[in-house]
Amino acid sequence: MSIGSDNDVSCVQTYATLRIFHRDLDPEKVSRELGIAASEGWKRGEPKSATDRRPVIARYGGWLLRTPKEMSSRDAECHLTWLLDRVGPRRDLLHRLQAAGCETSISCFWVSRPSHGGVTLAAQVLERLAGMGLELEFDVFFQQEEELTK
Amino acid sequence: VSEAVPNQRDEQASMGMYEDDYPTCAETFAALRIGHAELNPEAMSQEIGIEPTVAWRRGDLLPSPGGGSAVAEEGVWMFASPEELRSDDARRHIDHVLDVVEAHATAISRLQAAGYGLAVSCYWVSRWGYGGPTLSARQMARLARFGLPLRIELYELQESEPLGRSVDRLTGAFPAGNR
Repeated sequence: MSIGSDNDVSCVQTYATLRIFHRDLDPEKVSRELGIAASEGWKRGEPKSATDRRPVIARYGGWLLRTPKEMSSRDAECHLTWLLDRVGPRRDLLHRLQAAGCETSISCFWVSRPSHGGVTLAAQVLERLAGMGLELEFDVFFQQEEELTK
Repeated sequence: VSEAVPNQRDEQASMGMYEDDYPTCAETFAALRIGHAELNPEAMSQEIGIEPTVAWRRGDLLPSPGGGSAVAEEGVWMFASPEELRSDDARRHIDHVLDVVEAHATAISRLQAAGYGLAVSCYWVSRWGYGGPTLSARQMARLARFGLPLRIELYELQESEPLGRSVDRLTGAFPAGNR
């Protein structure tokens, strides 16, 4: 069975983000314990993004790890695997954070060709996601026909 | 299986596992797909012990999503989650299909060992052109336990195309190269 490809023809762009949220989360502490620098992080009461003109004040602490921009693959599995490879060696810590009440999930941003596209996830990838207790949420957008002619 | 649905719905909804009014979803369902060049739908139904939602043999003419028809490259047997589930949450539909897989685990394993291609497909229509299905860790573990890949077919709701479970949507649920 062929599972996806590095150039999924129905995908315009994709990336994935591991998200950890908790009311009292300290992103610097999570980065230290995981040994991984966050793509974004904030504490409760801080603006989620320092560059926003109208900053949103966070009600929860957050720690995000996003697949890098240099990763141009249009195969969602490649992005999920990248995250799993980074965090897999520290799954014990991830489980501790979950036990302490942290919400953990992966969001997969996926832009589809107009009207229809599709993602295939191998059983091995599903097993790794499940083993880390991670929910997977797709965040899909559809390219519009007029964008193709620009 | 269908008799068990209301109880499972009540039990799992009370556990907060499902969001049946999933706001960005216009329609969703899931299906177990079994494919093989020599698949005989009647024999497959006997092997598993349930009737398919749709099935065909290699060489049969199938409606194409873009209109017209195409010759089936392999025989396929598909069991889809029923409309009676009345849920816009893909998790409920996938779990329903997994309940069927678990209830027929011996036959499923035998078919995999015999070289049949098995997968679960999830058809998901976006109401507003954004959003997407959510999968729980628990059901990803269930899929992995049976060695089943998951194919998610994503559609944008079109004014010109009414919703509904047509055979072409099911036949298109696994395009060539993802079997």
